[in-house]
Amino acid sequence: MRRLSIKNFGPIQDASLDLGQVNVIIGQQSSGKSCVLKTACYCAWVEKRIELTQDSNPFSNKSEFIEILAYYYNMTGYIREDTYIEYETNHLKFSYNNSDQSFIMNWKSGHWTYKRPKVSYVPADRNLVAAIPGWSTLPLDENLLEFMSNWDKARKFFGKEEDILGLGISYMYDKQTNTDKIQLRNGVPMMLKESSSGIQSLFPMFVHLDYMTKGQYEDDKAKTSYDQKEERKKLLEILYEKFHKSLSLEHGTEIETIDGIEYRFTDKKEASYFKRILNNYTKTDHSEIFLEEPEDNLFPPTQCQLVNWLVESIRKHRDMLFVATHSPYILNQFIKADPKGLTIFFTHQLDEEQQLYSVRQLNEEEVREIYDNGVDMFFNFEAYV
Amino acid sequence: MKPKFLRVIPECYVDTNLIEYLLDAKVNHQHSCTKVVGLLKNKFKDQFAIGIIDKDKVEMGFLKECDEIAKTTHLTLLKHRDRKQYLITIHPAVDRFILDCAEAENVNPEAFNLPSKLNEFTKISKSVTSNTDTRFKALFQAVKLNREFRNLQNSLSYMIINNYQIDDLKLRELFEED
Repeated sequence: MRRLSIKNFGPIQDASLDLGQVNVIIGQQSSGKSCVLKTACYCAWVEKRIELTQDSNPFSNKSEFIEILAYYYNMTGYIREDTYIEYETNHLKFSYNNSDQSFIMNWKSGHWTYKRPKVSYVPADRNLVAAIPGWSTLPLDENLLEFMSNWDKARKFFGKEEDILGLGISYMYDKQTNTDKIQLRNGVPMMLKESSSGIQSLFPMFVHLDYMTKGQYEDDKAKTSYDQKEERKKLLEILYEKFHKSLSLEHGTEIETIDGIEYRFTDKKEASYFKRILNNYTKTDHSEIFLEEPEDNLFPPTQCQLVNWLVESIRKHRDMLFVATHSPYILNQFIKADPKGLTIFFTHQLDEEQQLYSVRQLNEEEVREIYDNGVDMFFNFEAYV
Repeated sequence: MKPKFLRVIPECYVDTNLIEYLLDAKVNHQHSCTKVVGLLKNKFKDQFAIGIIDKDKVEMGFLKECDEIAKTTHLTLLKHRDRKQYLITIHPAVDRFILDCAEAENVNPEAFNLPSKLNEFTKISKSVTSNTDTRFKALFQAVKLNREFRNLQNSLSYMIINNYQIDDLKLRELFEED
């Protein structure tokens, strides 16, 4: 369960979304799709920060919550006096009200069922990674830099990807020159930055998403890094303290050694329960991927192949996917590939003069109706408002 | 929410606006005549459906599989030889059809803040917002007693109600009624 409400933020006047495992949002230009996508991604990140520190105070300081969001995604102009954002999962619920700058967070009964995700936003301008060699030193926006840094990790891990999406084109990362290369079906090598716009858009996204859905679980380097160890140590202390308090373990007699330190529990069952929670918090369980316009510069059949690959890739770890698109090929392929697990949203205008929008969520019956009747949603919004 | 008739498939924005006005319902808007014909040929292969397209862009292959069953000055009603599918073609195109009907009823589109000259009217009718543009709705309201408008409305309503039980003679009467 994951519910997001946005009020009076950017073009969004009032929107409530019940997100599922695979989510697609469509809508006119400037109608708030990216605003919703970015806010959803930010809230997933905030949830992770709160869970991993068991502390919501960093977001409670006046307008800190909204300011981080606005800074990270360049959305300062979106904030209004009465902006309100609310986010709820099985583990916690938080809300931010800009009229009194209050941030309220409450744990829910599923607090300890949290499973650590890797949260990633894949921006539409991702093809810049192929074109800019020294991107890490440039004053780009934080969101893009974060994607570039993730992509850098992914390309170094994979080194080589053969025959991406059956296109007959392979990708290679050259460690020595720190460059990206491709090899065409006829064996001709080429720099990624010299390839077609479609390849420059597709390959960074593909390599990154392949890492998010598969590679990260095989990446021993990432698992054993110093930072990871330090974070686990800290998290162990925080979680034990919280857990200790919630279960009143002062008189526990069961001693369990975790990471070389002795911890006290009531019995073996409790100790094993704690270790399971610790594992859920320290080890990535799944990814939460927020993907902007995957269709960029892609030939329609390749868009369909990409969707099929995505649906298959997220299956193993039950990754959450939220896609904003302008492509009927992408939308229809999602409906075709996974109609049951799919949630479709579209933005629609509430106020023409002020250009204010809401978000409508299609129900299962409507998705079936669209598919059965070949309804092109991009031309038939009004029929579903 | 208005009712939806998703087996009624018009192309273009202003066609959709007109059909939705006449039926007071939402229909299955497709963005080109090839998409309309594609749905008839594939998705609704063995099912009842009505396509509405401009004559100037007719998909000839599909047209050859249909027989003409009724005709007015601007509208032709065709029926597929083997399927319960109907195609209405608008001659030469919907923009000219609307202007001619308005003229026949002594209605000036300018009274509704719409141009009366074809090329300017066409420009607006191609806009992506023309399917919800209330100026067109107001113009249709003023022209609604026009014979071709009325016949189009009556025959569409008849087809929607009777779909697989359509009597083609009755349909012809409604379509060509004076």
